[in-house]
This record gives sequence, C-alpha cells and structure tokens, in this order.
Amino acid sequence: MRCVRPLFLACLFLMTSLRAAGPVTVSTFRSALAEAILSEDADSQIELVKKLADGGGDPFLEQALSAWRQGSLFLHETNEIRTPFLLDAQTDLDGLALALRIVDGELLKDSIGKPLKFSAADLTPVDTSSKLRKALKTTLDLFSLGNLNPKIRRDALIKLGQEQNSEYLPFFNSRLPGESDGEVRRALEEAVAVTQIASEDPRVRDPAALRLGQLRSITSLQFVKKLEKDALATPAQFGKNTLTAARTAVQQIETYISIGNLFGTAFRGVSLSAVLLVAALGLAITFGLMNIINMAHGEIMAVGAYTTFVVQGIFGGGLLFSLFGKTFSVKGMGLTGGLFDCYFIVALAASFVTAGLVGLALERGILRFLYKRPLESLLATWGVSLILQQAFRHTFGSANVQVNAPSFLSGSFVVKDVLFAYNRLFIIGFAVFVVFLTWLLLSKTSLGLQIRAVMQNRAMASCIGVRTDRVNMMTFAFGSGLAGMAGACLSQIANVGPSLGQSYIIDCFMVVVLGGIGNLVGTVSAAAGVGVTDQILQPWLGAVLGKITVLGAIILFLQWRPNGLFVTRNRSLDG
Amino acid sequence: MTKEFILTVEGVTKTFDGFKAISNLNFYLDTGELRVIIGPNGAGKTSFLDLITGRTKPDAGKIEFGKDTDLTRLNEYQINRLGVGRKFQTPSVYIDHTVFENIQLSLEGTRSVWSTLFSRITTAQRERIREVLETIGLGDKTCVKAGSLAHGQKQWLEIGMLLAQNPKLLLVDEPAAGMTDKETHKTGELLISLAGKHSVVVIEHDMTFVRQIARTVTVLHQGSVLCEGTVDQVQNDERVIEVYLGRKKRDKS
Amino acid sequence: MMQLPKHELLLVSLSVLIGLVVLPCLNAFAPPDSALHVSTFTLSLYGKYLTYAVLALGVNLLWGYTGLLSLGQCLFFSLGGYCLGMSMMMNISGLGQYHEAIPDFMVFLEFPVRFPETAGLPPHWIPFKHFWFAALMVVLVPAGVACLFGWLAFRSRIKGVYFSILSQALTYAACLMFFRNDFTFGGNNGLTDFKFLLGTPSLQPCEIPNPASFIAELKEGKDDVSRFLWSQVTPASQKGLSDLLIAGKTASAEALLAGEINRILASGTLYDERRFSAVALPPDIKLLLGQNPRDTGMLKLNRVLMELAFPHQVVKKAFTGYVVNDPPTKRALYVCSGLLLLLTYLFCRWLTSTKFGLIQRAVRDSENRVLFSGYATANFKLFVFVIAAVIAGLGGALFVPQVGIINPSEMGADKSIEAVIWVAVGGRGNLLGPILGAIGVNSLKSYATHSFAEQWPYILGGLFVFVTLFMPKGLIGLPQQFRGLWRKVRPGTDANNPSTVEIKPENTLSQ
Repeated sequence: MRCVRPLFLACLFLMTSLRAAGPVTVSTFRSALAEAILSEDADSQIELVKKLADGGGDPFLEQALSAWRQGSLFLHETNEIRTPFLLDAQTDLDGLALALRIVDGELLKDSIGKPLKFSAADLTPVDTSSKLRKALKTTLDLFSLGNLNPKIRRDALIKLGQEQNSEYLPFFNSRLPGESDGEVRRALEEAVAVTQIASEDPRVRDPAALRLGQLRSITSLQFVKKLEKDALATPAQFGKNTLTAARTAVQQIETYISIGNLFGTAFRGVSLSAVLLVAALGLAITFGLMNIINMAHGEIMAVGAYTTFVVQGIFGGGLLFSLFGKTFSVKGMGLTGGLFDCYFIVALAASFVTAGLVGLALERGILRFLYKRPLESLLATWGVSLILQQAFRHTFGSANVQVNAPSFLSGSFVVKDVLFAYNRLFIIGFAVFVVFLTWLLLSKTSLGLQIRAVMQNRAMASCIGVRTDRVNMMTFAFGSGLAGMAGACLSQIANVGPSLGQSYIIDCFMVVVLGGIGNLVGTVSAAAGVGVTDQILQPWLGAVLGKITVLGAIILFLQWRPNGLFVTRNRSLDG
Repeated sequence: MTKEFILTVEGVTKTFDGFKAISNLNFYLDTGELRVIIGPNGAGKTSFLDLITGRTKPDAGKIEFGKDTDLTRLNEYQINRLGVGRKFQTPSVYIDHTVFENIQLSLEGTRSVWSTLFSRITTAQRERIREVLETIGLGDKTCVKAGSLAHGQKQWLEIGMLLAQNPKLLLVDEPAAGMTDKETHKTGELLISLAGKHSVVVIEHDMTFVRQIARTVTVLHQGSVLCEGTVDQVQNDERVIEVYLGRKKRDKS
Repeated sequence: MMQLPKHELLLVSLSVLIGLVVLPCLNAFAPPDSALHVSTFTLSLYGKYLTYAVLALGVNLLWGYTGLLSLGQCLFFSLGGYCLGMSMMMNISGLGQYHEAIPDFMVFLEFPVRFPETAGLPPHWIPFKHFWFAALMVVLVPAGVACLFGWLAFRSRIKGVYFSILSQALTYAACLMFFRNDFTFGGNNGLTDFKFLLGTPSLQPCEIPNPASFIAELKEGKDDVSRFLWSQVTPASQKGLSDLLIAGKTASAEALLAGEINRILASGTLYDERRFSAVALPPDIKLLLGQNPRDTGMLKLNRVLMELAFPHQVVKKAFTGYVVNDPPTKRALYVCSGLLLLLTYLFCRWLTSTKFGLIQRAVRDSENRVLFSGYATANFKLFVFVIAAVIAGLGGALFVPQVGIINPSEMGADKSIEAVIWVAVGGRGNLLGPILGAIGVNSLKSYATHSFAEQWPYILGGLFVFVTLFMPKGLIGLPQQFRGLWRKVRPGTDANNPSTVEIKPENTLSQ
C-alpha cells in the first residue's frame, strides 16, 4: 500500500499526457463530482453521477467514486465552505492519514497551510442511498471501458453486457467506432447484442440473437438459451422469428463450444502425453533397453527439478540449502529480465548433467551387481528413492520450492476460445526434441549401435568386443539424464517438492509397459494413448476415476497384447 | 497306408518380424518312427519344435497330432498332456529340486492344482522313478540337487524326465551336446530302444550320432524340407552338400 | 507328512510358549508396577507386528516360493481390515461424536441425504452388522479381487517385473479409489473410533417382542423409568409411534422405538437413584454403577438396566459384544494374532511340503519347463496368489482392531514394498525368515521413529540396498553365508564351493 500514492500520481501523469484533452476534462469531471457530492437533491445527484460516465481514465476520480460508494468520503467544513475529501491510503503511526480534496486531488490544508490529518474512525462519511450507490457502480463500470488495458476493457464489457441494461447502449455504440483492439470490438458487439436481445422490440431482438450466433459468443449462451426458452414458453409474446433466431444462435454457439472443447481436450491430451513421454522416455531406456526397474526414476527427475531450482537461485537472488545439518547460502548473480530468463536454458543442460551423474553413481554403485536379478534391482532402487526423497527434504525442506517460469514460458494465447499455454507448448516441443535426440543417439551413433547390440544379446555383444559394462553405464547415465531434463521441464508445470517423483512414477511405468519393451515408437504411442484417453475421460469421470479407468484399461489391454503395443520380437523365447 | 501318421504338418509358415523361420513346411511322422532332423544353423529346426509344442503359433498351415487333434489351437500344457514330450536344446531341469523330485514332477498323471495338494506319492510311482533313474544312470544321485549335476548328467536327467512322462511323441533337441562319446552312444541306444513304442523326433548336428540312430533323415533348409531319406541318400544329395556340407567346406577354406 | 527340522521345532515351540502363553499372562496377572508386567500397549504393538508377520508369510509364499513379487499385498491386507472395520463401525451404537446410529463419517458426509431409504447407511454396509458376514468378507473380498486380477494377469502371462508393476498399479488405483469420499468407506480418514467387536449392547428392533405393549407401557408412565424414557422420546417420534401403531405398521414402529431408545441409552447414564428405586438391582450391577462407567461401559450398563427395568419388553441379551479398547479384548486380539500366525506358518509349512510346493518352486525357477511338463502354471500361480491374498486379508482383519484405524494410506504402494523388504531382511524362501524380518524391521522402525525419526527413511532405504546387495538370503541365510566366506578366506579348503552370493543361473529355454 505504501507505493500506491506515487504509483497513482505516475499514472495520473501518464494519463494526462496521453489524453489530448486531458487536464481540462479531468478537472471538469472532478468539479462535477464535487458538485454532485454537495448537491442536496437526491435525483440531481444521480443525474450528475451518471454524467460522469465519460470521465473514465482518471484514477483519482475512480478512487473518489468508489470511496463515495463504500462510505469513505467525507466533508470538511470551515467558514461555511464545505469541501469534500477522501483520506490517503497511507496512515502514520497514530493512524492518521492525509486528506485529499475531490476538486483537484490536492492536500487539504488548514488556514496556516499545514496539511490536515484525520482518522477515518473519527469522521462521518457522506450519505448515500442505495439508488445512488447503484448509479455510482454503473459509472465505475463504465469507467473501465476507457481503461488503457484492452483486457480490462473487455472484461468490463462482458460484465456490463450481461446486465442487459439498455441504458448502456449509447456508451457501447459511442465506443464502437473508436475501438482499435479486435478482441474488445468483438466484446463490444457482443455486449450490444446481448443487451439488445432483452429488448421488447422483435426488430431489435431477433437480429441481435442472430448476431450473437454469428459471433459464436460463448459468454452470452445462457442469455440466448433463456430467450429460446421464453420464446418456446410464450410464443404469442415473442413470435416465431425470435424462436428461430434464438435456436439458430444456440446451435451455432453450442457447435462452436463443442468444437472448441474438442480442440481443448486434444491440446490438453497432447500436452499431458508430452509430459508423460518426457518423463517416461528415460525410463523406457533404462527399463526397456536394460531391463532395470529403476524405482528411483521419479527421484532422478526430482534431481533435475531441484537442479533447475538451484540454477534459478544462482541466476537470481541466491538460495539457501542445508547439508549435513549445516545451512549454506549461495549468493545469486542477481540477474533480471532476459538474462535471468536464460537460467532455464542453463538449467536444462545442468539437470541433464546432474541427473546423469546421479544415474551413473547408481549404476556403478548398485545396479551393476544386480543385472541378472531384476526383482532385487527393483527393491534396491526403491531404497535409493527413499534415501533421495529424504535427502531432498533435508537439503531443500519438505515444502515445495518455488521455481519461477522464465518470461517466455509464462502466459498463453487464445485461439478461438481455446487456451494455449506457452509452457505446455514448450513441453510438447521439448518432447519432440527429446524423442528425436534419442532416436538419433540410438540409430546414428556408435554408442547407439552398441546399446542395441547389448540389448539384443549381451553375451554375444561382449564376445565381439563391445564393452558391455561401459555401454550399460552410458545407457543408464543417458536415461537418467533424460529423466533429469524431464524434471526440469516438470518444474514449469508442477510443484517441485520431495514427492515430485512419486506422483509420476506409476504413470511412467504404465507408459513403458503399455508401449512394449525397447521400442521408441511404442513409448511414444503409449504416452499419446494414455495422455489423450485420460483427458477425454476426465470431464466425464473426474480426475481420480479417470485415472483408475486408464489403469484398468491398461490391464485389460495387456490381455489382448501381453507384450505391449509394439514388441521387438526375437526368436529367443524367454525374451 | 497301413500305419497312421502320429504327426502331420502341412503348409506351415511362421514369420518373425519379416524373417521367415518356417516356410511352407510339410512333415509326416509315422507312429513308432524315429526320425532325425538335421540342417544348418537357422534352418528352423528349433522353431519347428516350438510350433509343434505350442510355444509359437503358425501363421498358416495345419499341425495335427494323431488322427485329428489340431495342435495349433492348443497351448503348451494341453499339448504336453496329449502325450508330446520335449527335451530342450540347453538342459532345462529344476536346479533347486533334487533329481528325484525332478522326475517326480514329470511322472505321468493328473496335473490339476487340487491333485497336487492332496495326492501322495504311491509305491508304484516310487518304483517307476527308481526305474527311470536307473535307466539314465543317476540311481546314485537321487537326493542330489539337479543344479549341481554336470552338464551331461543334466542332459540325462532331462531325458529321464521325458521318459517318466511316457509320451507318445518325443521331441529331442540336440541330446548329445555336452556328452562324452560314450554317453552319446548310450543316448543313441536309448533312443533306438524307445522307437517303436514311442515316436521320436531327434534334432542333431553330430553326424556320427545321426548315423548311429537314424533310419530316416529330414534335412531342413531355410524353414522348409530340403530332402528326406536314409543317411547315405541324404549325404549324397547334391542340394544337401550345397547348402549344408558345401557351406562347411567353404567355411573351412 | 510334515516334518519340521528339530531345531526349527524347538524354536517354534519356544516362540509359541513365550509369545502365546508367557506374554499374555504377564500382561494379565503381573501387577502393573512390577518389572515383569507387559503393558497392554506393548502387547498390542506386538500384536500388530504379528499381523505384519502374517502378511509377510503371504508375501513370502508368493515371492520366496513362487517367484511372484507382488507389490500389492497391502491392498489385500487393507481389504481384510476394511471388512472387519466395517463390522466394528456398524457397532458404533450412537457413541460417535455425533451420537447417531450411523458411523460419524456418514453423518459428516451427509449420507442420510444420499441414502434416505436406509437412514444414511449405504446398502452394501447393511449386511456387515452381522459379524459372520464381515468375517466371511474378510476372506472373500481379498480372494475375489486377487482372483480377478490374478486371472487377468496370469492368463496373459504377465510375469516378472511386469507383474510387480501391474500389482503396484492395482494398489495405487485402489488407494485412489478409497481416498474418495463418495466411495463410502470414509475417504482419507478411513474407519476409526471403533467401540464394540462381535456385537453391540444397542437394542435391535427384533429384541422388542411386543412393541405395541411396550409403547403403551411407556406412554402410561406408571413408573419413573418409563416416564423418563417417554419424556426423552422426541415429540415427532412420539406422534410417529402412535401413528404407526394405528396404521398397523408394527415393524416400522419397532425400528423407530429401538432407534429412539438407543439414542437415549447412548446419550447418558440411565441410572438415577430415585428413578430406579422400584427396580431390584443385583449386587454386581450396583458395584458397576458405583464405578460410574462412561462411553462403552455406560452403554453396556444402560442395556442391562433396560433389561432389568422392562423384563417383559426387552429381550435379555447374554452377549453384548467386546469393548475394542478393553485390555482383555486387546489381549485376546493379541492371542488371536499369535494363533493366526502359527496357523499360517503351519499351513505354509504344509503347502510347501506337498507336490504343490514342488511345483511352486519349479515355477519360480523355470516356469516354462513346468508348462512343458503339462502343468497349467497360470492356475498354480492364481491359486497361490489367492491364498496369499486371503492370508493378507486375515492379517489385516486382526491388525485393524489392535491399531484402531484403517485408512487408504495403509494400502499405498510404499507399504507393500515395505512388506517385501521385511521378507528380504528375514530371508525369503523359508518360513521363519519373513516372521523374523517383519517383527525385526518393525521393532527397529518403532524404535527409530521414536528416537531419530528424521533418519528413518535413510535407514530403511539403506536396508533395501544393503540387503539386496549383500544379504540375498536375509538374516536366516547369514550363517550359511559366513560359512561360505570362511571357506574362501581359509587357504587349503575347497574354493570351488558355491559362491556365497547366489546368482540364480538364467534358465534358458531359448537357443
């Protein structure tokens, strides 16, 4: 609150400099308001307030109006002169605040020029009737139409339109020619049409309904529906044309919504698939190619996510963490803006490296002794996952840590009422990139050749001179690195905490099992299948039941294809 | 035709990921016959046994056991219960069980869950097990864990398991591998003695062994039958020399 | 047919003597301040471990003997627990926080609105008021779930790690399901605040032989007790009772009356010196009254007072259920857990000694060979899986009354894996190892979570790693392992002995 005053003064300055007729208009409206406040006649008060509607864009006027409405506007009486004022938001230690005059926004001073200070509790606010308060609200709403931010203008229009108050129509219409923003223009048209369908006159009402249909106005669907219902209930009053028009509009809008939903579901499905794919790909490599059940896969993802957090801290304002009971603080570089945003790129690489190293340690330290005992490797890695989780708790605390999205990943854009979030789009792109990278590695490099050789026949590969030990190590490190990058990505859409891994591990396993072993195409298809099915089911069944259904479906699916979607058949029958 | 075929394989084809392991294979086995199948590596010998025992299903063709039992519709244990026994290429015995138990599990009899819970081993069964153990020369190893047997002894044990089952058709995959010459010879004699009462199919590489036991030899090549006949006929066959022996000669040079 | 090795027989008999005889006796008879006294809390704690040991035996039957690593055994454990928990919840008798006839969470979740016909009870809960039904379900529900899942899994030959992962997914799905409030099993709070086991002092409608005359007697109000009771019946119910009687709906009147009386019985002590001046009270009841019992004791006493005050109207009930939290009940539950463990142990001992046991281990070592010997391995695996589920369910059923709560987190994937590690620590593939592991690891856990809770996950995680790497045969296998090591270390002895770390030879049926 402390910065409110300078801020609004700055705004005021900006506003006045932007609007050509600024200073004159502002002062006119302010004195008009003062006049209205002082007026004794209730009706003329309302009239005056309504006239203020064109005065949007003056924050002080807005502040004054809402103060009046909320009963925090006061009168100062000296020598028969009554001066309306409001109190500044900032109070001193005694709870007193400076008084600002409504007429010019200047400080209220006593005879010797010393600023007066009051406490709201000691003052009696100016009276308002409910009628007046309503008028004040309307005026305030109409103010928003003049706001510089198109989004606020649009929101205000939608709100005002839905009031279906024909008194607003002149305001809407007067704004229409000057409105440059396409979205706002559309909202204006919608507001006009929504207001018009409440009209008694069929010549106004019917075209307005049709117009709403053409505009595919989702926000006004309920109003058109109501019109349809009314027209159906009392045909005599509304006439056949109204019914047809309303029906057409409802149909058009509903079709539009269902198409939008379809695309929305498809997008969400694809983005969930991408998340699953990114998360499961590392697992597909360690599990599929090496037949190692890495229960710590989720925690390796969390290593990546925490690496992102650390890198962010180093780029930004530093971070605190504790190791072995001692707290360390790392000083950040204090970067901001574009340079800070770069942290994510660095973090992606760093998380690949750190997670890869953790994977390497895991493979060298534990897993290489358990290659022939997959069930035991499952248990051992579960133990590792417990240890890692607790280590995260000890190092970074058991609460989730805050990972800020770089500016290029925050926000979204809307196409035809379908929301496309940048971070989701990024993950989709990233999934494609990672799959490509893995494919490249497996099919175009000598390491890939060796990996495939070891995967098909370990003994033979080692006979022809492939260092299977080294290949295992590299494969596992690579798979873990991918998991780390997945964690970095997940930090953009999910909470980063010690249990990050646990929430993905079962889904990941499902994807890999469903996809079939050692097969990239299978993993991609399985991730797509699970993700899209989940999103299609969710609106019907809710998140939990949807998930359960997907799990059940996977078990049933395996009845039909016990080896998953795609299976690399080999003639070895225990394969 | 006086004798009935115990095994009829007609037009069978099996493809693994585009690789034709078996292609349009025709094979007939008389009841009581002893047949040896030879062929170079990858000729489809083991795949052929897999198809008969239900381990894999053919893409096309028919496999019939006896008069009209369609084996392609049955799974492994159903086929086994019909009386088709198989010895695998690498000895597969229950390493954690004793030799006695290995044979006990293979004895003919009901195979249901319930019967295994409440049945007790009878004196007759005990006698039979002892008899089988004597036949395969492991009479003194009754209580030894199968895992600690030598490779050749494991081979014998698996043959014993096959005997205990008393199947109508025995499918024996490379029985001589890992055996000494003497043992190999003994195996040969055992197999010959089995023929007549049982029908036997033997897959083997060792030509000495083949010569010892074979009456009729079938040569497989690239998943189908190349030729059939006595050992001499086969060994003098141009095509066989070309694909099998011929290649060996080239390999040597 | 079953022969126990001598040392095992000795060990088992000794454990039975100490566990089933000495400890409960010390709890019952040793004075509380003596050094020998075993507190009821300790006894219940060990009772909990015993049920865990039962669960571990089930896991072992699957993993150690059949090679099936199920990561979902805690699901069956919890299902058994839920079934018995439901039976105990049905005996809440108005003693919950809300003093309603239905369990608290049903009141809280507004079930009376959702199930108006049954006064808030979901229909599938109703049969659980009979203990025998609940007991049957303790066996049938886990068996049914295991049968369905096992049939699907084994039919399509899902094995090894795939089976593990799918069983984990199954538990996970069930856990999510039970977390939902509308799944009618108490959501994430689960079932808790148990009062009575096996019965209830509450008045059942059938225990009022002649409702019409009873209502008439209460209405008339000849004695103080009747007057008091009738004054406590809500006016709406008073009218309802009359109306129902006039309409001839005796059964409904019976139910309404029973409900009202139960509410009154649960709401406070019925006894008042003046009120009961006309009733002859036996000395033992007077003694009890002097103790001024609360909660469950009060309800039991109220029931007896009802029977005494209205000998012709209220059926005398000889058995009004065990109070779950009473020390004797806890002691009995402990003994039951011990007996269950003993029986499970003997059953497993028998099972593994039959030909079935041979096949079980054959499946573990070489499933394909068994298949080619004519055994339908899927059936064998299904049988073991169902048996293990039933064992787990029975364990869970005894776990719940001793712990006093069952909630969905009990069936989480992590719990099931923990059960596996008990078996691994103790030593799988034999029958004493899992028991040792379950009791040992849990004792360690209780100690560790008390003394250094922060470090416990490290210890548990480390245990997982250490045991799989260095103790493949668990604690039971340690002597043998040391013997192997000793032979290696000492020169001149046979170095060709089987290595201490047994790596199971790959069983290759392939070419």
